[in-house]
Amino acid sequence: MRIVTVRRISQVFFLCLFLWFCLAATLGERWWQLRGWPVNWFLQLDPLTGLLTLVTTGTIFAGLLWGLATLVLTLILGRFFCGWLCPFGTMHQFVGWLGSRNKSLKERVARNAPRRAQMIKYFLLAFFLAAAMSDLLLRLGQVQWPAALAGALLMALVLAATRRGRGGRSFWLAAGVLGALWLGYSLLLGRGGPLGASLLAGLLDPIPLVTRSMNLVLLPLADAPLRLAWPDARYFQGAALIGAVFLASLLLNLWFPRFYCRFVCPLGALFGLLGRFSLWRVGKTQAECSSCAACDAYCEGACRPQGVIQPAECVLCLNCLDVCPDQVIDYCTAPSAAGEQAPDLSRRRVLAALGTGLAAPPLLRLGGLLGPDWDPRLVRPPGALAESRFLARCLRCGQCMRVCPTGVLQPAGLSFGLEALWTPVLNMTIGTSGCQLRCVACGHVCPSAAIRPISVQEKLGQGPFAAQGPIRLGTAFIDRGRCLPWAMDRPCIVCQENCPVSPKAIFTRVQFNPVLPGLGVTRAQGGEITVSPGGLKPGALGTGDYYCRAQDGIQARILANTIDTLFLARLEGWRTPAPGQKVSVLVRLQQPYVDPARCIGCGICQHECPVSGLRAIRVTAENASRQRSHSLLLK
Amino acid sequence: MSPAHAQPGRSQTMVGAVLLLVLAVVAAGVFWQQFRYDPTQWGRLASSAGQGAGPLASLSLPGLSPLDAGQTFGPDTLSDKIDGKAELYLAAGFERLYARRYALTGQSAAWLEVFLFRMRSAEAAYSVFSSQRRAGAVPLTITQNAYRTSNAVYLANGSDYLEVVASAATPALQKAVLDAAQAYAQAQGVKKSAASEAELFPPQGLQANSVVLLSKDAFGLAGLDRVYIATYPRGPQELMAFLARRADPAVAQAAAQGYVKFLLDNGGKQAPEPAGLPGARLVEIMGTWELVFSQGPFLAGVRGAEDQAATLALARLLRARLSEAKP
Amino acid sequence: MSPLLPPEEMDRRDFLRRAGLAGLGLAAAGVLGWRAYDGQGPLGSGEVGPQVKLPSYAVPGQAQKVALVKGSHRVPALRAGLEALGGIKAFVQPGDQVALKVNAAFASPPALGATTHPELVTEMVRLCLDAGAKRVVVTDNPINDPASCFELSGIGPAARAAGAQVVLPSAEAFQPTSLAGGRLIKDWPLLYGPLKGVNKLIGLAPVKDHHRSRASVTMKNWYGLLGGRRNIFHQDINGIIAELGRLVTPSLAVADGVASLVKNGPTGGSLEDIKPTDTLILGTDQVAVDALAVGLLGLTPAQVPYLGLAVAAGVGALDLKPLRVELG
Repeated sequence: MRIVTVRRISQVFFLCLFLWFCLAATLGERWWQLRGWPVNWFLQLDPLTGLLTLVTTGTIFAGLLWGLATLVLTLILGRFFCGWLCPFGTMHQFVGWLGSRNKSLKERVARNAPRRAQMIKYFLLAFFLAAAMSDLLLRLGQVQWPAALAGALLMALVLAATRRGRGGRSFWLAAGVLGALWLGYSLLLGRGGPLGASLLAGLLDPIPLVTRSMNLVLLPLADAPLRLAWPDARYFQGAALIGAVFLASLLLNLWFPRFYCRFVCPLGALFGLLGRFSLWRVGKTQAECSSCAACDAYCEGACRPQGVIQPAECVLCLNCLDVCPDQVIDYCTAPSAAGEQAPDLSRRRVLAALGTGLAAPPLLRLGGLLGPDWDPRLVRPPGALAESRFLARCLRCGQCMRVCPTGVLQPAGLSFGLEALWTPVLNMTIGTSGCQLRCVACGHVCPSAAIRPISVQEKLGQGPFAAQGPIRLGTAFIDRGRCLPWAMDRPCIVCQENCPVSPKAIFTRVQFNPVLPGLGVTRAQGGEITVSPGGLKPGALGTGDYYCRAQDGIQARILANTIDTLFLARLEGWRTPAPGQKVSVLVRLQQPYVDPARCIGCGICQHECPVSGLRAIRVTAENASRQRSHSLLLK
Repeated sequence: MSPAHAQPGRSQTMVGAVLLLVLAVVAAGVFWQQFRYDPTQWGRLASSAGQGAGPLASLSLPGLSPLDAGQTFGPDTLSDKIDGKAELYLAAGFERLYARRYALTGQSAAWLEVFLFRMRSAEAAYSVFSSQRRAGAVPLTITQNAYRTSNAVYLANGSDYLEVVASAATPALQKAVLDAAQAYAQAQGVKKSAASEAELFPPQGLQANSVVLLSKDAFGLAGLDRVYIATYPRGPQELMAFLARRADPAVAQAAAQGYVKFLLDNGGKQAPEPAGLPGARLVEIMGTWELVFSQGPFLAGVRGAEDQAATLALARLLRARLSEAKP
Repeated sequence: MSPLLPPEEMDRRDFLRRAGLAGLGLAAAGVLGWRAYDGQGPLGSGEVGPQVKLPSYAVPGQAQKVALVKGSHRVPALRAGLEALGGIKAFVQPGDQVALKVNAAFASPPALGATTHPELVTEMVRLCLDAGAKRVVVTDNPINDPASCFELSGIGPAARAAGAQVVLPSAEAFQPTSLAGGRLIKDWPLLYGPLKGVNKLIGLAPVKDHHRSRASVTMKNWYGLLGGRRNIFHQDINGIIAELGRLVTPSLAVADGVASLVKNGPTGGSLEDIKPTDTLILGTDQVAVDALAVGLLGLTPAQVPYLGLAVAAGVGALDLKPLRVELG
């Protein structure tokens, strides 16, 4: 059995497993539904998510521990994840293979030669790492001197790793300068400001990226005629952008095979840094060979196996080992006989990437979206952490949106700010309903606990949670300029009827409004009153909402009408008006009000509102439980 | 894709085999993992418990005033009403329970409760009806399967199982209970019983109203479902006849063999084939005789008697009845 | 690295260096995973109430004993049984606060035997108050709507008339608890509110057939102290009853088998499901009480799996010899 066959089997296996998890993440207990399928397994195996949440929060949440296993295995085996497991990598490899089919050996060698641009991914990694760092720095900064020393040492290590320092003196000088800078900065950091750690890596981290693209683009497209994953067609706002990123990253493989893996993938960069030191590695057993370049032609990682190999770039496709006619390539513990080369990371560029990364969240937050100019449209799912803590955890993988039974959870678009891009936000219009009262599925699939795994009891504020009350996502506000009973004298209580909270958070007050004032009575007998001017629409006033009020202020319900005659349900005290007197036709309206103490912001009222464009009742994030500073009421 | 490659070495094959094994372990692990879950953690999307008496709302019950608006329960909430007994209904095939309480007008202490169980099939309704049959019950003719006790009426009708239970056994309440059951039958119409199999038991010596449908895992054998049993008193002891219709004769035969194997596995000893019952298997287990056979699409037998002759006699009667039955 | 070394030596050194690094990585990952692992996830802004632990309500110095009274009336039977165990004063001292955990599970009339008989509640409340109890609380978390259960079962009116305080479960009354070494009762809401300040707990349970556990007597009665979606425990009914026995150690457990629900339990429904069994069993060992009570249902203790589990868990003993009292 050829090892590359085994590799292909492994790739297909994990790709199928990944696709299966995407399909099975439907809420339910049938064998093809959520049940206990470990649908987050690939996200958990991805150590970048674990590492960066560790940096931002100081903890590793539950299943993210798998990432450590991947890291350790990488230290032993090299980048097995990229070449054998990563479903995104498999897709790239397949498209790359399509693009290389009719290429000559020479062209192949050229396309698979190592390039300087492969260093970009390391800079991206440094950027994302630094963007997630500031809270950690702040924590370290609070212990002052020892922290400054530790920080300086860390920095020095980074420098040492980037390009082998030759002279000891310059190294210690750099460490000293950095330490001093560092101390000053830590003192300043404590003063606050628009600082904060942000998990921006989710934008390009391959597993969240491919999960998101599957969940929000490919699956809804594929499921539209099948209806396996969802009972109704699903829409995801801004899916085109997510799809474009996904499609572009796939199509770029036609230009260079495994384009994303070689040039962009920050996870690949992390594996590369570790894979450099791996125990087993691919290399030549003897420096001399027939130099046929077959290995270079089929190299997936662009690591140049025939010459001085770059172990950090090797994705363990093992094509070289398979195609070598001289059988001089092996996967073993000895370094390549033709020599090895570490990634050529220029110190200045790494520092620049780290600096930009550190500066990115403050820069993004200078817009005030996390402060005074917070966006009330950003209604987060139940159990979501306070915004800054949320952004420190959210991977933008879209699992919550995938599992949401009503499709109310949507990826936030660019209008919510770059930092919130593709994080979950409630859109009450696009799904089949609002947030369901007794559903807590999103928190239980969230791989990083950006949405906490709450219980139904906690969501409803029952049992041990009675004191803190239900979890509020926001509050519904009535737009009196658009609401039918408020603005247009049309009876409607759809929002009140659909409010799932008990007792209801929407109540109504009855109001009688004159719709036809000052009608003259021409004839009146018992419950029949003929009025002028006539021109009434026959039957229109017989819906039970219309009343006739006499001059004495007593009113009777209209049972039916013709073009000029009203038929009334007479009550005690009703005196038939004499001809010549005036009567008015009133409409009985139940005007809705929202009780902010009861409203949980589920958005079902907004979804059901018959004003179907811009709804007349809308939920915004005021009073959301997760952000105390946004509360409406004194507690 | 490769232009040329050498024959892979032995070590490559070995490593490959180990890796494929790892993949198999991963697949098995994932498969195993999917069984471990707690559906309650996702929350209930829509609780099936609710207000409203469903079909009971339209029931006209003169002399009775409702005490509540009625309640509705689904499979996930049934135990909120009847606690541990829910399993009996769920195993038989339960869909919905409507329950409503009424009092004699003007006497709130004299009340009754109507339980209408909507089951998945007429067979399921008959199963819960027959397996709860009360001793000392008086048969009624309201529907094909109905009886009353001193304070209650129980009946199966199509896929409905109805219980009307009074808080005491006063004459006024006894009448009200009967009236309520009749009002139900009138409103819903009398439907045919599922238990046509029940008529296949030989009538000679059959104890009245003793036919019970065991919906699941009869006699402790997992998978032995939908089995009718009937009691035949023979002096101080009782014989139990059983029969179950299966899809076709082959399935019935396999079921009979499965049951005999179960008996033998549990300490039974096979006796020679009894005369006059070709193909039947006689097993002695814990001092009693069990006779099992299949006849056409039926699995049938007699169990639990110390008297072998009585067992065989009843079995012959049963077999004769079954051979006349329509397949 | 010195270029003077032969290549094999260089390879060896390089390998050792990398092996050391891999080992270091493994160790670092292990330490990191161990230190930073967070299986629970972050807390919200609100804090969750702390877990409560139910104390043992066993009366100090009381030996394990059980009395079996033959009689067809509850009041004299209860009195005679208590006399045999040393009198009510052996259990309730002046100033005590007593909780009576009744079975008010269903909104069903007393005659149907699915709930604790109100006569028994009345007498027990009186006896406790006469013995000098400062306060007697009667409580349960019923299956059906609590208010109708307490009213229709007659327990509520009877207890109030006798001078007890009836406490219906409210959302605030539940606090999470965990049974040490428990498998099922983990972070589960417990009806703790009514038990605050209480130092004596008496269980009053009818003897009933049960579709799942075969018998429902004093141990199954503690199920009414659980809140939440407790019906998931029906999947392991015997396990949960045995765990309830470990969770709750009462001062006294009373099983009312003057009339028993022998069929179609635990709800019954027909008067024909009730059989006069003329027996009241009470004692300090709930397992012994239940073991005697299942005899009234025509069962041996061996046929009731939860009893075996409870004995194995050290809750009590099956073979405690009862003090027998015959009433005319």
